[in-house]
Amino acid sequence: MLKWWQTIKVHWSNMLVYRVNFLLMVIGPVLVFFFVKISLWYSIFQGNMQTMIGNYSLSDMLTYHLWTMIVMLISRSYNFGKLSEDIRLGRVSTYLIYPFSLWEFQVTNFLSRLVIQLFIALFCLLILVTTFSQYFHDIIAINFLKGLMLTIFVGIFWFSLQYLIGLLTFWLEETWVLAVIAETVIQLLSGNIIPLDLFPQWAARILEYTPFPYVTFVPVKMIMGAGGDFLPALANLVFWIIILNFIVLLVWRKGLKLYTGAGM
Amino acid sequence: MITCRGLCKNFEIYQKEPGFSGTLKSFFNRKYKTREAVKSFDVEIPEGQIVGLLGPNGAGKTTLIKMFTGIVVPSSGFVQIIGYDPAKRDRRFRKKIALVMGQKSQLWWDLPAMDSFQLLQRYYEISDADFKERVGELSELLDVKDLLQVHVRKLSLGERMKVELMSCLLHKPEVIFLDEPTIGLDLIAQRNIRQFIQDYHQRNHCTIVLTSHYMADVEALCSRLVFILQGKKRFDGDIVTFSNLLGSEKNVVFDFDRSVNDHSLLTPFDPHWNADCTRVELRIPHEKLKEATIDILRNLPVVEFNTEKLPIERVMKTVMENPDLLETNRRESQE
Amino acid sequence: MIPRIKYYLLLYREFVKTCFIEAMSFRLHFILLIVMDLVFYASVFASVDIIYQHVETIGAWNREQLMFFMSFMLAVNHLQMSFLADNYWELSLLIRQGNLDYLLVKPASSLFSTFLRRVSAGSTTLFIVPWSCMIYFGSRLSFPWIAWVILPFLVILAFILTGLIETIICCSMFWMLEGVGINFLRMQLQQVARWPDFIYASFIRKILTFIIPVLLIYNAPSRFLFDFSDWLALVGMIMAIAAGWVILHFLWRVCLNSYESASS
Repeated sequence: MLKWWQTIKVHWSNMLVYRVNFLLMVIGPVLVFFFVKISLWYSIFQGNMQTMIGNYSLSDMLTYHLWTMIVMLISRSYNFGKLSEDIRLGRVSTYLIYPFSLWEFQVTNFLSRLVIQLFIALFCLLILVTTFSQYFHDIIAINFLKGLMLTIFVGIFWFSLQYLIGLLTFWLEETWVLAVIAETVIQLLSGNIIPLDLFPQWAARILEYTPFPYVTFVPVKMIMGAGGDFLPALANLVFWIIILNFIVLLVWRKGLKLYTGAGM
Repeated sequence: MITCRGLCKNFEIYQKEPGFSGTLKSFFNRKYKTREAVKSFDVEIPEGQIVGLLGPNGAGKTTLIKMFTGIVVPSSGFVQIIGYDPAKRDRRFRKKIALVMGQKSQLWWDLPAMDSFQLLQRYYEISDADFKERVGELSELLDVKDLLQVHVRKLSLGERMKVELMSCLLHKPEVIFLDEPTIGLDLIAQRNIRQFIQDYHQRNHCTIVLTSHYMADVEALCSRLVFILQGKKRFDGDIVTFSNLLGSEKNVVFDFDRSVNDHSLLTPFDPHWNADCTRVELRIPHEKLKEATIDILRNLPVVEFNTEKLPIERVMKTVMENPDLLETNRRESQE
Repeated sequence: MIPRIKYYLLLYREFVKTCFIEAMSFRLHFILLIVMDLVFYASVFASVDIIYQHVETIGAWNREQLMFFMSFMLAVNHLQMSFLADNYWELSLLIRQGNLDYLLVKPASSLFSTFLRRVSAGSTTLFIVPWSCMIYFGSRLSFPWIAWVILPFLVILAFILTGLIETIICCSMFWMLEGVGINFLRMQLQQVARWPDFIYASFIRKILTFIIPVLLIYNAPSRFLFDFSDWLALVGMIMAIAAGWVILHFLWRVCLNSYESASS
């Protein structure tokens, strides 16, 4: 347990040494994206609190995007880059030798980021909700907690996805392209730009069979009190996480065989 | 050809206390310290000379090279290379110099060397005829004809260094700066590179400034040695004078038939023992050689001994550990 | 003058040649780059299309106008991705590893060598996509023939302005411990610039038009094409380019003078 705590502290130190990078790479993009979306939707609604688009009023839409921002801030991982580098430069060997596996290292990485990102998300939430309270719905504690719970699992999902992309470095020199493709696709299809209930019917129906809605839309709606039952939603998300991690395990095993076989 | 007076370079280094609380503190308030990398450096290098810049890590050798090539701007002082101020980065100046850094490569990693050469041909506006001739001549001298179409990342370190050297000579520079060109190479590769530089210099009479940790590089190539310690020039002269810095001392090696535990007799002569104390290397001044040798032979179980001139590595190491020796020597030679 | 131009043209031709040769040896990466760009284009158009299924106008613009604006944006973005983007990412590496030294020693403009050295072969092949969309939506807006004549010049002007702004921003890498974060800052500004300026509040719009003129990049030419009497912003854009050119050259000299070069 102690070594886990030590590793988490080291991760925090690393994050803070490159402090500006941390702000620009982790926090900045989410805040700017939020700002752009809010501006766009305010403009679409023409600042009119009475207008309805689908079943969204301006206040509904602004609240929706407030929560997408919070969900993003808490759940996003950026760990594929380091794993990718570790594989490319042959540093995975050191993890195989040390009494602390690569998996354990990545998980402590995840936990250390989660804590920091939670703090930052709550801080941003506090500022926005107190300053612009007239635009946003009131927060209902039980819904918020349910959504937060889901969001933490979304974090595990993102982490696993990034881990999978990083592992593909065993075969592909540069995996950042895959990370960008994943980000672009998920951003649209998870309802991050436009809520999924404004999508055409046929698209929304197909998406129900994918993990995408659970990445943003479902947790956000849960916080807003319109997300249906908590347990089925959690079960679905956990199902997709299990599938993803199963793939991760397969890829890791295959990759390790290639790695040690080639004496990289 | 190369003149510099009072050249100085200072860097700002950021300081952090250890531990997590130190990291947090430095997040909000960073402290900086000034480091003097080069202090008041003077040197005059005439055309066609090969000069070795020697010194331990962090002495300021590479910073000097960077100031000579215009990469880094001096904090103060005057420097002129073939009539140009490097900091002004005149295009004509850059066409006449070349830089090779042993630890960094200018070749494209994922391409054959020849593709990088063709790019360099464009940079330096080398005519097709000249280019063909240079590539042929240099690849012959360096024995790399078969390697030019191989991806650079597939070459060994020694082969990479050869094509790296070749790339910097295509445009027939007048001044060549070599920053640790043999670092990390095996002995044979080092010898090949040295031989090539020597041959090239003899044919082309260019000026070469070489930095190295390896005395073998300097001994083989340089007629003149400039020794730098903590950013200051501590010695500037020929190799012979440098090697005699510690007086005319001899390096004497004694082998014993058993472990020697009493070292008192040998302590005044800077002894270097092997692991089981059966062999020792001493520095004995010339005038004390006979007396000391007789003493040791009489009192210790010597089976073999031999005497030789003090190797330059030893001089270098001793001087680095006792920089005042340089001061003493300078004062003595002035008296 | 002419010999110098010829020198740089020949040098640039060599840059393009080496980049293409290099790209061809990584075929999967080459294809993935194309996929990444296509996914991005699809996501942009899909987002706009879905929104317009619920409203007639956003601000004063109808669907065709916003689609044209997006096509214009993508055409400029295509040029930026093809000819500039890789250099910005490379710059942080060049500074960190000290390989910038070699560029500074070459007898060519260091600005030219640093920011135009890399060409993204994969991205260049997609030229046809944004231009086809521009032509399609432009024809639906019944552009007069003169608009078609000046369109390529406007795209190039926008490309020059975006290049100047982003290059100026990248100069700050010389003073950063790790310059990767600056690239994210650059991308966030791109994100803001990608939407019509009327969606932003007046205060923000003024800053992003007069101080960091990212909102001029796509808006000024588009608005001019929609209505030739709306030429003021275009003039502002040209002035911004002139100012940017001067600032960049001055700033680059400052950067080089303070360059400390990674120690060996």
